[in-house]
Amino acid sequence: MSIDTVAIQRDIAGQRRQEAAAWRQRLTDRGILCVNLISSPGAGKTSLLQATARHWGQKHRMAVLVGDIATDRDAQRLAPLTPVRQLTTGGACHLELSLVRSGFDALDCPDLEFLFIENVGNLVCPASHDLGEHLRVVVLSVTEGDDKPGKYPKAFRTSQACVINKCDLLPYVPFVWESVVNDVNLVNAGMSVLAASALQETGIDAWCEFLEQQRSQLRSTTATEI
Amino acid sequence: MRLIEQIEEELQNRQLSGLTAVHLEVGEFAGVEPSLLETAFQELAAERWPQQVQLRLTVVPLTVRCRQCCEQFPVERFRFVCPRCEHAKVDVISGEELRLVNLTVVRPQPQEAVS
Repeated sequence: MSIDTVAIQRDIAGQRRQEAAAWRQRLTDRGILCVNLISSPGAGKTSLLQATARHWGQKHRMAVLVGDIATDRDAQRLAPLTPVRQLTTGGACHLELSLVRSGFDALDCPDLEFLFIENVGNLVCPASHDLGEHLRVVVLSVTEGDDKPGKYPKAFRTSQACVINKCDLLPYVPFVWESVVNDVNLVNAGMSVLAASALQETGIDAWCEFLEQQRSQLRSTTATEI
Repeated sequence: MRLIEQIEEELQNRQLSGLTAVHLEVGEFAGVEPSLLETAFQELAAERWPQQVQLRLTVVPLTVRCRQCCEQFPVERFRFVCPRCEHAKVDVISGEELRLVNLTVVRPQPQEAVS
């Protein structure tokens, strides 16, 4: 008998990465900006999407894939405002690409401009799963505290923007704006930080403008590539 | 990530059998907790292979490069800020990987050549 060690050097996540990149390209080709919203439970992802849909009205065509471990409550909240599909994970703590792809096919929305993925409320696992989005946005509500970027560095490091929600409650909670900005700058300097209150519908114009700008960059990038 | 399937695929492609050890590199920022991976691996390996398979894990530190001064440094306590020039735009160069480095197998002694 002889013992042999055989070099392999295989990227275990490689296939998943390629699948996500192919999906992203497919959306880019169709002019759809895909936005993956992550946050802890109750930070206001659904409320932010409701406010977004109300703000845009007929201006832009958007749709939402909303992930939860159980119930279709979020989809019910969104349904009067925008095309939506509930993705139920059956207990899993994050969405995976296969669920998103089949949810998108079921949406059947022609000429879509914005596809939002509302991830399962969790600041840990969703940060490790590329869903083929162009933009990952972390929603942090002021009631959660200003220490979260440092405590959940992967969520903040892998996101391109942070929406600080429930800003109408700032006078009542110990949330120091400078602390969160300082933490964000240590983890992911240059990240866009937007203040909002989804329920009061403040800051929604700036958020929607940010999204429109991101989508125009997507289109120009595609045009340059062609 | 289907680690076990990918190992099996490598074994089949190279016509190897008698797996005894698997060496993985796990980035500190890969979102994988080594002790949990070890537990899951042992459970799944016991279902897949009759023999004991050892898992060797090497944790790769999170290392980044400063976009301004090109300093390479390990990220400590999630400070993605250059210790040399205080610039905060940095690119990750290692520490996010999950790589199957090598497989150790026991081969039967080749038949003695017939003279």
